[in-house]
Amino acid sequence: MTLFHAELRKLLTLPSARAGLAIGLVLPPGVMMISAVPEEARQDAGFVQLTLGVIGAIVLGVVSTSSEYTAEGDDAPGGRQITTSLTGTASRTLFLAAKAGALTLVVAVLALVTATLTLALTRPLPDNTVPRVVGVVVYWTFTALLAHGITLLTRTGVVPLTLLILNTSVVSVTFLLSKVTPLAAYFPDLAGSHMFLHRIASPVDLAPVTGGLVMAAWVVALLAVAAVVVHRRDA
Amino acid sequence: MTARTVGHTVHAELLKLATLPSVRLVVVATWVVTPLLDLVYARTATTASAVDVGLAPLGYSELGFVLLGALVAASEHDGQIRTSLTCVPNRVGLQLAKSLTLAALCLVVASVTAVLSLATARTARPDGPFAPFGPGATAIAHLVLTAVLAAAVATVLRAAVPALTLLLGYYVVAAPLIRGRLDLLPDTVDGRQALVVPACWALIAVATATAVFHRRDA
Amino acid sequence: MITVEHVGKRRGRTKVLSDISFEARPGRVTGFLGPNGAGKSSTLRILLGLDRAEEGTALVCGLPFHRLTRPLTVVGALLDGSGAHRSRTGRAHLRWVAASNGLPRGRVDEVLDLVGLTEAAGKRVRTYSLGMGRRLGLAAALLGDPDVLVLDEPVNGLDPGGIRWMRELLRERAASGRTVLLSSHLMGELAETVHDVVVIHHGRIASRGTLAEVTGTHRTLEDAFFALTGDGR
Repeated sequence: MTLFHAELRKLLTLPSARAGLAIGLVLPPGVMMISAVPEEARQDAGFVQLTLGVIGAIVLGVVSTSSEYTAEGDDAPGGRQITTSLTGTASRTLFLAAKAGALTLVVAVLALVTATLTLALTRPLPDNTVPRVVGVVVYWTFTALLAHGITLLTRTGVVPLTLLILNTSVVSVTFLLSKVTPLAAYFPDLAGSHMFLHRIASPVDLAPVTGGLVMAAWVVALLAVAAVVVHRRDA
Repeated sequence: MTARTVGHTVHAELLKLATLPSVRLVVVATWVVTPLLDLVYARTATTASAVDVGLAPLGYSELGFVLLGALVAASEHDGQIRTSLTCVPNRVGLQLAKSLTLAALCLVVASVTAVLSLATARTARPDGPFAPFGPGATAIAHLVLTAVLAAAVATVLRAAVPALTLLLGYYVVAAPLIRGRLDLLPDTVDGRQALVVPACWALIAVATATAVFHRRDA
Repeated sequence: MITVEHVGKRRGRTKVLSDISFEARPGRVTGFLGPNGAGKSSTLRILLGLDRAEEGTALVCGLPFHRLTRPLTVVGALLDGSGAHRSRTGRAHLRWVAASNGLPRGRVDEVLDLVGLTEAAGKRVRTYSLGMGRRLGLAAALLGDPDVLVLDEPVNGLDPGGIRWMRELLRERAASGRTVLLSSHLMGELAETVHDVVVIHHGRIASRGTLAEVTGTHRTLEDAFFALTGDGR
């Protein structure tokens, strides 16, 4: 529990993580306010905007980990917080679990608050709002965990940040790939968006729960690989 | 600064660019991904002309140039800026030399990217008219200006991750939403003034970064 | 020759430096002594044009730092860390530093040899130990064979052999008529190396003079320092 608290505190005191919170909180309702909803997209109103806010979750997932690997000051060429974190925690597994747990909690709360704010601006409310909000919360949390996993592997925030933000665009890379092969529908972002979007230009139509499970499989696989790598390599 | 010190400063900045591994990585990635996107695009947009197929993926290659500018500028603020300033105390001169060398590098990289992209597009779509030079040159200038703007933003923020969050958030997410609603955005590509607006943005950004860099404690 | 006159600076509301005045003369090693946070690094950063002073002047050979045309040939500076980007090699770092002041490429290998980094020159700076990073920073400072050396905590991170080597290097530089200014909080080490001492405390000059003058009636420089700063504990 203390470990979890420590990670939560580390995350919430990072200026860049606060920026991530602000982006996630402001972007979807902001875009909701300035954009007109076309009639044929009525049933996804609000939820499309929530896909953009996932950038906040990506930033949180990236900086919670990349901050560990940034050189602090120039005194020691190799002096990074990860050394302190790993010496302060005997078990790397516990350390990773606490980090993922803190990230999950923060992003889930952020997603819930943002979804409520965004949908409060939506009239009339789309069908099945409650289960779809659960889908948004799961989607944001899984995306943050994917960002966390990739950053653990790359040890720099630049790569995951670029890949994942790039893929948030309206015409995402996975979307382009889905034009080439139907297998692209099983990429985590495309599969996961079935949890809350109804109109998806995807070659394969997945049920919300199936989409969630596909995304969950990606998260589990990536975090497992990351955990093994973190265990094996020198800090 | 005399002509000789300008030459020295530019030489040093070129050496910095040539020895930064992340620069090589981004350049190679841009050259690999752009032709692949051409092939994908040629397959999906069946009615587009060869030139259109060759230019469309440059919208994604643009992000390579955002990365290039941001990473180069941020690398300077990763423990090295005091060395740079004890070598070249003239901060305005140093900042301008940086923008200039980055623009020169990006001109080369962007030209190769555009040639690769248009050649791939022509191979994928050999029929129809093919007049790539005008639009190709505009696209190249656009990529160079994007990198210079990104570098200026990263100079003000002094770190890659916040700069990229802001820049990618703008180019990837915000721009497609507000394009058409607002005029005079930094990534304006249509119209006769296709380059005037981005050039003004790049100039304003470089001027702001130079002023901030000049005033603050290193 | 370094001349600092009435330098003052604030950060936010706190005055970090007030009325700092001292000289570092050619042919002598001058030690800049003070507890952590006393203002040593701030003063050196102002001297090197990295930070701005609100009051006073800091001159190197009669000029403010930013007026020097090829500064590496006048002042060599070593601040904290290596001053290099972590993903460059040591040699690539020194190459651009040399190029920035139009110094011949051959100097790079000379200084690498001088600081004992020839073998590690092709490795990336991120793989360097603390001591190797400091040696790389010193190599950059020596590239232009400058008349003035400004070093912030130069022995920080060096092993005992490195400390002795650094001490001899600095005394040799001074013996050949050059000016050396170094900051340190290691009193014992400083007393072995310096001719003159400037003591700074809470952003003010607490004492300055030759080693003998500052030590005064105290047994050691360390005793004098604690008497001056009231930090004996």
